[in-house]
Amino acid sequence: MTSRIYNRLAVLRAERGLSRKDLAEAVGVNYQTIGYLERGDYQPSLELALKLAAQFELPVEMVFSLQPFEPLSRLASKQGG
Amino acid sequence: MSLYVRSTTGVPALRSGRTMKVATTWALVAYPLGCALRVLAPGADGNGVALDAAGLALIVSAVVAFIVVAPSSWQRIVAEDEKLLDERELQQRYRAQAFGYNVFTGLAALFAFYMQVGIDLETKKDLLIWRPSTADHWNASIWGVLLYAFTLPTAYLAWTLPTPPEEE
Repeated sequence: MTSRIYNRLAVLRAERGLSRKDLAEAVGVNYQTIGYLERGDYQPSLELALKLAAQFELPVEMVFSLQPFEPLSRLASKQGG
Repeated sequence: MSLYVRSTTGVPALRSGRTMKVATTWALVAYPLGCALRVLAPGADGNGVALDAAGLALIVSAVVAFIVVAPSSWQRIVAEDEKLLDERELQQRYRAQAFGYNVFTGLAALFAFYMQVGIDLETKKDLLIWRPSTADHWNASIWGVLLYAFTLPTAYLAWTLPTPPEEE
């Protein structure tokens, strides 16, 4: 049994103004693979996960997680309160 | 063994999941049905000609359905050079090929069993059941084998993969 791997790819990609195609070319996959990853329909290999994290210059655990990521709005309200 | 028709631009044709489900299923159903109608068509009387024409139309429609499938991004996963696929596409290819292999070998075993029963009935009980015997019959069988080998893995993808994400 494999557990689902959550990711922040869509948010990070939007934040950097990258299209799926741009990100796909940077890590050497088909743009559809990025879409499948974002939708949670595909779980990346360790190699691809590391490449994607390196592309965003973030530790891999900030991009991928076994637990759902907290929405940014909730994080912001925690920091504000 | 499979076939992918690469476009001159190298960009595969985008087909929706629904189109692929219909095209692959139609190719797999219409071809044997068309061949069966042509075999059943009796002589050259009125009904025979109509059945023969209907059978031929089904066979042509199966080929047209495969022409829709052949340049698609789905067929690319099944038949493109491995070096040009990424890890997700390779994973999907291995699953599709495993499915195609299992179904194909099952059908081949059924065909061999049918032929054996046919020969057995003819030699021991003098009963005749239809078996491919002419060059036309075997020609149709060979093209059917190719069509199934090319289409079964893609049909698996069409029925199991979620709709591919679009380019932004």
